[in-house]
Amino acid sequence: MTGGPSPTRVHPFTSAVLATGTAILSLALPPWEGPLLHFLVVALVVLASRVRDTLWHGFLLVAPLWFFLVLIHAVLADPGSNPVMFGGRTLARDGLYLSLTQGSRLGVIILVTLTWYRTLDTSRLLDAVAARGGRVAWTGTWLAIATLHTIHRFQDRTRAILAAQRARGLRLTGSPVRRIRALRPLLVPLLLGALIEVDERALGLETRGLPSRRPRTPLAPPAVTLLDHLLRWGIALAVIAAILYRIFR
Amino acid sequence: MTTPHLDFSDVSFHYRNGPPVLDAVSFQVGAGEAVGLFGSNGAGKTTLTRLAMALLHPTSGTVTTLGTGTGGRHPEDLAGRAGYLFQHPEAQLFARTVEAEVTFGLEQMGVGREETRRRTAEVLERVGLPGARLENPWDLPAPHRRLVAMATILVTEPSLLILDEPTAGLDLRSRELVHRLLREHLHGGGSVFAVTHDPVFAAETLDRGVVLEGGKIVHDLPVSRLLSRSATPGVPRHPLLDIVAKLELGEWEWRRDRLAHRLATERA
Amino acid sequence: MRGVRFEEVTYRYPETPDPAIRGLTLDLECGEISWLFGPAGAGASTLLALASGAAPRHLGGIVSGRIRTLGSDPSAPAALAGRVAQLLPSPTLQLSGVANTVWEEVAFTPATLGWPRSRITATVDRSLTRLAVDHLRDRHPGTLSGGETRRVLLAALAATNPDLWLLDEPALALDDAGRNQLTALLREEARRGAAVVVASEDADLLAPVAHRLVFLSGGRVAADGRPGEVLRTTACRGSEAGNTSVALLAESIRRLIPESPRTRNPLPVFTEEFLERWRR
Repeated sequence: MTGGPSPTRVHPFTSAVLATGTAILSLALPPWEGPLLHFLVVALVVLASRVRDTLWHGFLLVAPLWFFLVLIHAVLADPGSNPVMFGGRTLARDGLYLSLTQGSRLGVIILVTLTWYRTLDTSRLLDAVAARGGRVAWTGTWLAIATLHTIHRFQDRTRAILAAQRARGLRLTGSPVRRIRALRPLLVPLLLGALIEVDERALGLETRGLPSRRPRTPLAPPAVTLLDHLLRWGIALAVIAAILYRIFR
Repeated sequence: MTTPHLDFSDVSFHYRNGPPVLDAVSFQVGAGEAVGLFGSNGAGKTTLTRLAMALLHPTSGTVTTLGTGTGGRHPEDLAGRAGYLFQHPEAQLFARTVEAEVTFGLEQMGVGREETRRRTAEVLERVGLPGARLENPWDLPAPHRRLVAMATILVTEPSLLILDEPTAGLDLRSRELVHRLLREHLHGGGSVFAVTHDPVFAAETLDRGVVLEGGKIVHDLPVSRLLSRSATPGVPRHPLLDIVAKLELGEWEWRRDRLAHRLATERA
Repeated sequence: MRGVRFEEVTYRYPETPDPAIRGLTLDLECGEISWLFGPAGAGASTLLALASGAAPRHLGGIVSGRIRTLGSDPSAPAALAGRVAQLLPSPTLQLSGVANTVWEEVAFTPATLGWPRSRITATVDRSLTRLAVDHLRDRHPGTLSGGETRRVLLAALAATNPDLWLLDEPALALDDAGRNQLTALLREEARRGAAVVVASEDADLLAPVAHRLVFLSGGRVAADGRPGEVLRTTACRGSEAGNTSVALLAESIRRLIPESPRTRNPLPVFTEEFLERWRR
């Protein structure tokens, strides 16, 4: 859901392949150094990219996971025969390695999903599907995108309703009881409006020709370039290599 | 001289990472004044009204609403003294009855039950919807929903009314009601700042017009003079322009009753 | 070809005892601009919804009688896809949500209908020019103002060369330039042979442009004919719906000098008639 021109020159299928491939690679790499290093590499790549603020959103989601993983597996678990000393505490070594592995894998999955979403060019994706697949595939992709779009609209509406109710004097500060009561004038128009909007949007989209059963014309179907081939094969080979390494180690 | 109800002083604004929307905008709205904000589509009019209500804050310059600068303030600080009518009031309707909608603002202000009941009944009478008290706002036709939205704001008895397209989609009866409500408000010392594309509303209800083009205020004139310059971009063309021009009525009051009176007495 | 045909149609909104449309029979023709006008709640918007099939499919409610839109039953939307251009009062909900630019937004429907690329390019460029939104072609649709969105949507709807236009208050939030483009569009579309149906309370905009005025009251047709004639009849006079600014001015003058020859019936509704009377 990006505004303006496409932020990547990569084919939409390639970014999907890259995202999936990177996630699988993380699962395939041998613990614990593999996934951790991989996670750091992925984080650096995101940092160097145009969508670096995804890192912050990713951090907000990943940090609590790491916290609980380390807490449960390393801090609160029985230290066992070969503990690690850290900051005055005794941590279970195996548990620590487990949390690093799990944390890194979850971190990679979250980061690639967020990055894929941020760099998603819905227009080009639909064109790519229209060029390759049939009407059904296109409609399915379109519905999936429309669902994502509903989330976006929800955010917009929340902001609009918040503005409207604040302009009428709604205060979000004060006692907890006050704050809970303040939710009703926010949630009710939000939910009511969302329900009505689903209906109206369905009607609105009908007016744009969606019930048509003919195959869609792609407007500017993205080309599959050498870079796309390199990236797709690159990630596929990396995954295969990691799996083979695990098997024959 | 009393403090203006709204004071824009050298205000510039742009959204984060966006192009400039407003460029050194300055104008005032005094007590008892009804000022219209005109301009082409996309000129930034809605943005300007949001700055007035502290929904947005200027990138530079100062916006002073009802005597206090908006810097660091929130819209809920102004609610009750200033009233904002959104272009699509449906976005804020949440109660199951019109009555509950109207009492919301008063409850937020901490007004007592008896007083709330009295003021609610009174304002519903004023907007011509006394019978709709227990109706669901969503069951009413669109123009009546807009009148309900106006009622929710008027009930708090604000000094400044900020309105975004108040007459859009209204039929004649509702327009006449809005006109009456606003003139009563002005008569009581209140002020009005309205974004509008409606030249008839401007002529009948507003005193002054401010035109926004290219992010700047290009005109700040009495409405009668402004409507005579309909060739200027952003100034809407009044439907009686040809009559006024061809009968050589000059830069005249564009209000229908005054025009009628003039034609009836001078040309009978 | 008939644009829209209503035969003895009665319609009730869900959970509403009183019908919004009562036993209405009406033929809206192709090649004409039909203007639906009446006080709030008279049924103009409801008729548009019935013609498009939005009622009862999306809005619910109960319909009786027969409705034919471009010869088909409007309850089957697939048959009408691309042939009916419908402008809803909240146009933001009609944006596709998947276009990066205004150009792509306008191209969305033709592309969805499977038109060849060359035809799409030609029609989109033409549409953008007709609605004077060519300068917006590279803008993201989400960044447009209300009026700009409306014009872009009109361009998008025009791009499919529809056979029927159903417009609900199309001039809302449009500046004068937008209003002029709108009336030019309506005229051209009618000349091209489409049926153009507009529900609007803006008499100053529609009276000079519409070929036919259908005046509604309480869900029934109260008057039907050329706009000038209908507006002059007593059915409209003093109605809550209003009239042209010229007619309202003439009425105000008559209240002051009822005996004068200048204020005799029929009262002027358009500028030319008014000037004719008052120039002497």
